[in-house]
Amino acid sequence: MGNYLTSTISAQEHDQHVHVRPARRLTNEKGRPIVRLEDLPEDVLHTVLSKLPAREVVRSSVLSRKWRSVWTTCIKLSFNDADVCSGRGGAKSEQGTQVFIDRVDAVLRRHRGRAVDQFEIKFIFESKLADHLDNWISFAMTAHTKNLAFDLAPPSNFLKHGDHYRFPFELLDREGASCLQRLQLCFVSFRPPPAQFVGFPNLRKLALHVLDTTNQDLDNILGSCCKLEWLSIVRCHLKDELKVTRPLSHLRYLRVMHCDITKIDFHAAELSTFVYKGSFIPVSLRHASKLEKAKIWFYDTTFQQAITSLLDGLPDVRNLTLQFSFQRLENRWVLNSPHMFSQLRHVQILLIATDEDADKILYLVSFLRVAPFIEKLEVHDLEEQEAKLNSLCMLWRMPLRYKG
Amino acid sequence: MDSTADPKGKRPLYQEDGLAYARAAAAAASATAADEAEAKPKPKPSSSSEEAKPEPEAEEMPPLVLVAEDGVEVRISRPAARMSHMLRLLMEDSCADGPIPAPNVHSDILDLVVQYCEKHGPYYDPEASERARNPFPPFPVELTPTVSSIKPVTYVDPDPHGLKDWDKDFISLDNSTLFEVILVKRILNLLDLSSTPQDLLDLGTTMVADMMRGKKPEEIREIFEIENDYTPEQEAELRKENAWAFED
Repeated sequence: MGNYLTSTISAQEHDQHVHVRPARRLTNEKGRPIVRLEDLPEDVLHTVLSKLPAREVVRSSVLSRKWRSVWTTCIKLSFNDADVCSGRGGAKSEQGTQVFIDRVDAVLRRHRGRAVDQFEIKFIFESKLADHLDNWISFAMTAHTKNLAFDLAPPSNFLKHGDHYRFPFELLDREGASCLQRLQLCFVSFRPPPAQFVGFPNLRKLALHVLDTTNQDLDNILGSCCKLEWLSIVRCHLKDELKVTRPLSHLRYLRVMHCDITKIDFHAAELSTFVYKGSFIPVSLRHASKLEKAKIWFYDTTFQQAITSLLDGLPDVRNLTLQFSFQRLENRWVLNSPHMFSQLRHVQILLIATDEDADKILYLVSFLRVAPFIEKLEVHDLEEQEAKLNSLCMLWRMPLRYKG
Repeated sequence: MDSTADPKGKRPLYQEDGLAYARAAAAAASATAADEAEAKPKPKPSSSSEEAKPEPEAEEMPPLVLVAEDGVEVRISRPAARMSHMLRLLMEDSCADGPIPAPNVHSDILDLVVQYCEKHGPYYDPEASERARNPFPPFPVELTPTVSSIKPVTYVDPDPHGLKDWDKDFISLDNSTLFEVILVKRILNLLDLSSTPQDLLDLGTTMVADMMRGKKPEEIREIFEIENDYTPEQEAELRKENAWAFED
C-alpha cells in the first residue's frame, strides 16, 4: 500500500511528476512487516481525528488520496470558535460570525446523509446565528446524533448579553429525539414552550447552563426524560420551585448551582450524589434512600437552620459536606425534631469562624444527637487567604450507637 | 501461524466471527492441553514484564496462556485478563483453561498488551474509564475550584493510582509498534468494539492525535511516512476548496 512501485496512479499521471524518495521499507530489522498509519482501519482513524480541532481534521484531506474522504465519514464533529476561525480577527470581528457559519456549513454539507454520533458547537450567541443553529439542530436530528452540545454562552455578563437562543422544539422529530443520549445546552431559552413535545426518551445526561424557562416547562421537559441518570442545572433563574413531578427513577447525580429558585423537589429513588450551591432553600429529596454523597453550600444561613432543613429533606444521606459562606454561631441550640439522619456516617463542615465565634464551635456538634451512627466528623475553618488553610480540624470516631 | 490446530481451517480477519473461532479452538486445545503443554517450548521469559508470574495468590486461578502467531506463549493473570472483553467471556464459559490462540498477533506486541493489562487490571473500573474517556459535559461550566487540601465527599480523584505517568511512558513507542498495539486491541475486542477495554485503544489513538496536532500536512506526512499521491494541481485544488482550514 502506498509504495510508488505498486501505486494505482495511472501511467499518464506518473509521467507528469516523478516521485523522488527512497523506497519505503516493508519490513523492519526483525523481519516483521512495518505497520503504518494508513494501515489502520477507518474507524480508528476517525477516533484519532475526533481528538483534533476542526481545522486540522479538514486539513487531513490533503495528506494523501486515502485521507481525502476519511474526515467526511467522521462521526464526531466539534466546532469551537477558536479552532474554526483563524487567529487574526476571529470571532470578535464583524464577519466573524458569518465566517463561522460558512465553515460549519461547509463541513456539514460533506456529512449530509451520514450518521454523526457527536455534534458540538461552541460560539457566543448573537441573533443572526439563530436560523443557522435551527438548521444545525435539524441536521443533528437527521444524522441521529447521540451527543449534542450547544454552548452559546458569553464569557460573562449573561444578563446584559441579550436574548437567549430559543431551542426549536418543533424541529425535533420522534426518531431524532429518541437517539439523543447526552445533551448540553448553554444560553438557551425554552420559551415559548413546545406545544407538543415528543420528549427525550433515551436521554441519559443533561446539562443546562444559563437557561431561560419557567418551572412548569422545565418540569414537563425533565419529566419526559425517564431514563435520565445525570442532571446539572446551573444559573437557571426560575424564581420559582425547581420541581419535577414525575419520578426520575434512574437519576443518580443531581447538581444545582447558582440558581435563583425557591425550592428543590425531586422524586429520585436512586439518587446517589447531590451537589448544591446557592442560597438557603428547602431541598426535598425524601425518596432518595440511597443518597451516598451530598455537597451543599448555603450562602446565607446559620448552621442550625441548615441542619433542620436538611433533616427534613435528605434524611438518608450517608456522607455530607456542608459549607457556609456566612454564618453566625448561636450560643445555644435546641433541635427538636422527630427525624434522624439514620444513615449519616461522615460529615465535613467547612466554615469561616470569626474570632468571637471561635468558642462557639463546639455547639455545632449538638447536631450529633440526630446522627446516631456517625463515624467521622470534620470541621474545617477556612481562612480568607486561599492558599493557606487554617484547619481547626476535629476528628473523632463514634463507633457505637449513641443513646440519648 | 500458531502451532495449535486450526479447526476451521481459515484465518479470521479482523471483523469476522473470531470469538466463536477462539472458543472452538480453545475448547479443542484444552482437550489436548496436557500433552501440548509438555511439548511446548519453555515460555519466553517476558523480560519487560513487570509482574512476576502469578504465584501463590493465584493458586485457585492459574494464569491464562495466550499463544501468539509465532508460537510463543504469553501468560496473563486472570484479573488482568478481565480487561479484555473476549478473554472475560472465555473465562466465564470456562473455555480458558488451555492455551488460547491469539492469531495475527506477534508475541512482542502481545507482551506489551499483557503488560498494560497487568498494570491496569487490578484497578479496572469500566464505568470510571468510560467517564474519563467521554467526559460530560463536553464544555465544562464549573468555575475552577479553588485549590484546597480539603476534599469534599463528592470529590472523585481522576487518577487514584497514579497510572497516568506510567501510561505516558508506556505509550512512547515507535510508530509501527504503536499501530500494532492499537490494532491488537481491536482484535482482542472482536465482536463488541464499543465495550471495554477501550483504554489502551484510547491511549494509543490519543498518542497518535498528539503527534499530529499543530503540524502542517508536510510534517505529518514526514512523521507517518505517508505518500503524497496527489498531483500538484489536485493538491492545490483541494487546498482551495477548504481554504479556511489551511490558513495559518
